[in-house]
Amino acid sequence: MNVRIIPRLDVKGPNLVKGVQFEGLRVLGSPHRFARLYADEGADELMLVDIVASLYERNSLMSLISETAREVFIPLSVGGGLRSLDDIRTVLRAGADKVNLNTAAIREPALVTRAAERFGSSTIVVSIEAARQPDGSYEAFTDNGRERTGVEVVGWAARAAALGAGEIVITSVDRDGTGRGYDVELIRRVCAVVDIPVVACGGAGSPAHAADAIAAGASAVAMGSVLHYGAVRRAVMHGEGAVGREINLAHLEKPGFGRIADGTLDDVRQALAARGFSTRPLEGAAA
Amino acid sequence: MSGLRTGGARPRVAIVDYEMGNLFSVARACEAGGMVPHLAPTPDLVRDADAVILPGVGGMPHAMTVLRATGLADAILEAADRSTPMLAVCLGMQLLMARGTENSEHEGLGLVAGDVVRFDGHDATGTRLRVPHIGWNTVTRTGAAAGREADLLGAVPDGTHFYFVHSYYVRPTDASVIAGLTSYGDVTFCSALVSGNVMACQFHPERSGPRGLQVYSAFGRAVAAGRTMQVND
Repeated sequence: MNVRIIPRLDVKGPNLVKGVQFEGLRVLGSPHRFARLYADEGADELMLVDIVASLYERNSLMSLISETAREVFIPLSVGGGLRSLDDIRTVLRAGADKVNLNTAAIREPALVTRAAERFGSSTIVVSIEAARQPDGSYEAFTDNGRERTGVEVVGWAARAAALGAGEIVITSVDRDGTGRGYDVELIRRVCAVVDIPVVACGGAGSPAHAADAIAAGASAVAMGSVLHYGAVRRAVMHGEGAVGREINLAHLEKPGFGRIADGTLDDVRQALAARGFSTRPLEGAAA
Repeated sequence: MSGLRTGGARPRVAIVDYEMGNLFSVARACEAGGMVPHLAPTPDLVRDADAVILPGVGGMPHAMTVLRATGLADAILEAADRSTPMLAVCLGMQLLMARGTENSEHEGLGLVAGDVVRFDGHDATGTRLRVPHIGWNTVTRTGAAAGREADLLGAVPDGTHFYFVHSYYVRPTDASVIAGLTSYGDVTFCSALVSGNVMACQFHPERSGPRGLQVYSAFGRAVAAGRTMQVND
């Protein structure tokens, strides 16, 4: 089975942002522009996460979903602040294919079952933010790693699958935005207890890191910084005016950027192929 | 309302709206395929159309309950009786079958003989397959369906990758309706079929990039040309 590569786009209002642990958010540009670029370059899906998820900005998220789904004919999963069946329905009607539930699923596990019955198991993704604890276990967090829940991650993943989730996205809060690589121990533990696909997220600092997550059992990798910084770098190199206007280059000068060995989706595909993992060939290439 | 159906005009296609699946993207793909889509939450809106698309993601028992309760099931069967071209996608394909086995045995629409079963297989290392089957996988064209597979698959090359997301797959009784095959682990299943005016695919052409849109274009052309009216050849 082909491994999936999923660009993760964190949005705040109209902007694509990238959070770096303890350093806050950087505005990278127009999420719509990045989404189109990744679809053209052979992304297998797109993951859109509203990291503020305030009601105030909900309309801007809906229009972003519709704008993206109008032009981009690959699957789109959407997460961030979805609390009810009505919220899920609204996002799906706007053009999303899947929804990621985190806080709401932990607060009200029965929602996972009801949503899976109503919209189909494969539409309901349970997203887990995991932070490693001093005793080696992992605790689930919500609100982008800000709120602890007291819920143990591996048990929660197994329960989420039993409740009817079609997929698990497992994000390492400790690694997210650091470029230190995926938490393979976390991925291995979660993959061992569920028989649904697992998407690894958080920590990729180079295209080569993707293969570590897949070797640990993940069916797909989600990554932000590696691809976003790659897109920004190419925009600079090619001096693309239209791109440049929509992509914020200021953060290139800031510390932290150098920790990420950025790349393209093709770089990630090649890194996976080098370790024996197949991916979908880019459209137009020989099958 | 059938007076709206005029030769040469872009065909009007009803997307059966029972609130399961990404109807927004199906509608955009129909437009890209040269059709004029409208969402059809009621039976009359299905009856009015030149062609019907039965989309869907999710569970077959719940979907059948909704289709029956809304009268949409009867409208779909009537459309099939009138030889209205139909494209069923993902769960829609499974709904076409006579029998499902999700949770317990139950009836589908019965437009295609056969049943629907859950993945139960292993990968090359002997590990049980993760279900749902999610991702891009290849479709091998069979050349069957009396050469009419082109009405569904158009000119897409053999072995093209399409996007799949499903836990169940169909097993048609009559192998000659199978237009495309896909393998997940050690399970090879029917991923595309053509039976009379009814066409179906297990993958999501509206989520499968430019190649997927070619499927909608092929369907739009077949509807516009009335080629699908030549059944039982």
